Amino acid sequence: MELLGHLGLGFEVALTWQNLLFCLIGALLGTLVGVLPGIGPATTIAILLPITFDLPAVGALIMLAGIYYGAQYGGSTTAILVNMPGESSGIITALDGHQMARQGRAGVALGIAAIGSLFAGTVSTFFIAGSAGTLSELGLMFGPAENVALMVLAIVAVMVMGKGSVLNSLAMVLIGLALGLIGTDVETSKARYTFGIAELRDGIDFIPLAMGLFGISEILRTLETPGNGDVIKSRISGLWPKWADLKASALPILRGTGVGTVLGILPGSGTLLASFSAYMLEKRISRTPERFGKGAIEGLAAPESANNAAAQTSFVPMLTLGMPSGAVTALMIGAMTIHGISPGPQVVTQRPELFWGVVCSMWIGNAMLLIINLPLIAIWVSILRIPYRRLVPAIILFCCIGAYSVNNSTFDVVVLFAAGLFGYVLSRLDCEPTPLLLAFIIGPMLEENFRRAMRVAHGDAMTFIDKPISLTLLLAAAGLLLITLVPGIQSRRAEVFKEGSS
Amino acid sequence: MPLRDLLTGGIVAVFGAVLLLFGNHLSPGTAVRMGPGFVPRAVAIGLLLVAAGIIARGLVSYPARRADQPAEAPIQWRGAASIGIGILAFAALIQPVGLIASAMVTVFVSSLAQQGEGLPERVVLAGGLAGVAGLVFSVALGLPLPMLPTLS
Repeated sequence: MELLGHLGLGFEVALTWQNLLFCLIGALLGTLVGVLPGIGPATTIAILLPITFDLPAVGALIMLAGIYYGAQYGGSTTAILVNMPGESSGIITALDGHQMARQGRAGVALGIAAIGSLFAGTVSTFFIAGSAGTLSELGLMFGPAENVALMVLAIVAVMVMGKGSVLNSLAMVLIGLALGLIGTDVETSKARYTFGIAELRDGIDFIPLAMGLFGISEILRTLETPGNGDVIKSRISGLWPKWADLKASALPILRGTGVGTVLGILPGSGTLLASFSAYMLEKRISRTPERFGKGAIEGLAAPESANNAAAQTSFVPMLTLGMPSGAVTALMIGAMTIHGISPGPQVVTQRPELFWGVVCSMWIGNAMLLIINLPLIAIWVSILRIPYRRLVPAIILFCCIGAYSVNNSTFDVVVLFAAGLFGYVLSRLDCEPTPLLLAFIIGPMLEENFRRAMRVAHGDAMTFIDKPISLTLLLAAAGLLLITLVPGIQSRRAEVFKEGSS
Repeated sequence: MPLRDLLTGGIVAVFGAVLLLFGNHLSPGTAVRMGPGFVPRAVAIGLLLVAAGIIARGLVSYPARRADQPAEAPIQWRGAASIGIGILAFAALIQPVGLIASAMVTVFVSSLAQQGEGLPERVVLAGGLAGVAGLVFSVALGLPLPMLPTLS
């Protein structure tokens, strides 16, 4: 059993006390920041990235994964208790979860969310373990032309799946590519767009950029809606659901896990599509659809499981092909590059301890969340009650210290400032920062592979169409773009986001 | 909202123009051996085309899209200014005066982003957070951050 051997290696790595500690710290900090209203997983990871900087590569990725799950769980907690979700998929959680909380069933809602997440996490860990080998073998057949096609597909998918206008997203992609050009050209060592600034010779550091685009601008956005929302005042008790609740949510958890696992792999889809589809599925097959939106436990259990399953399987294309499928995985790829790992299919074979260690720590992280969060829920609730005006300066200070400490450079703090204000302007203009960051991170790889592919093909651009894998990937990207032009789908897309944000 | 599209298009166009202007000396090379200037030129052209597209959309759809625009939250000038100055203050102060003092300034200035708190509370918050930051980052995590002004 090859799979068991791999998982054995993975648990061996993940169960060392250092890595368990990293996972625990990550999950705790992730929840701590993720629980803050209006702050989603991508922002949480961006804010907390600098603390993983000095760790060994495996530990850093394990901690980042822990932060991600923690942030997701924290976001669900906020969605249920305050109805202020930090990310789009939390909006679905809030639909029925917050209603349950209003009916005095906050404890049950939090419990079911945790149990559903753990179940989904378990299934999708095995799914990743089973599918990773095959995918990375496929990935190893990729040459520069296929890599270019794959990255184009990743970028297009993020553009299409994001909310708002595709033209705006394309603009963000191009700006991201432009910012990624800054620095020394790898092939000719010529300085590009450094404007004589020494710090720019190695390019803009992605940590202050991500912190600014996500963290600072997100905070400015939250300032626009004053107040903390209404936190559920009553004491939360009875976290462990009753037998009837468990029975009612068993099948929804199962279905949600299935939906999430499959949709999570698709590039760019992220967790919103998964939790939305799972919610709609439950509503459609329910005998009492009118209960949805009024505190139906199925309407919480299914999307929460789907959300977590998708969060996990979205790591599959990142770990096996080096292709980010959204802001979170783009940040992880950036972190891998900092640690000197070039993301791609070779990671599975060359660094099996890293790959399997991260996969196994995903499951451990999920289990930890269930164990630590049920007793700690009172703490998270009390954080929700801290006035926002006291949290803002703390987050700002944390971002400043984080940005500075990466290279001990004040220039990075200035980048943080510029990226934060730019991010706020962009979000006011309905431009999403995710495509920008994604293009910034994979831009240099894209250029390198593009130039290499053209050289190998003696300057013939047809090479991208002549190779079957590359052609398939490019056709898939073109198909995705075309879909957005179909009027029916366009309105459907608007509807999904409208339902998501109302 | 034409203004929004015009502004977006303008920003995108500026990026394209900067890429073209300051990348003029970079050689595009040939198709077989691309120089450092090929991709920048391609990105710049893309930026200018997209900018034109966004501006055109703003001009064309102006009357139609106006009705269903929800009311916008007001821009956070106060928040952006105090948080921005807070961050820049940190950049300017961290090396000359050390973590404690620069953290206090950053926290105090960025706390001005929101109303509703008196001067004493802001000062206490600044002192408290600076102390916590010093303990966590310098003492516990051992980051090479100077705590106090370096006398030299």
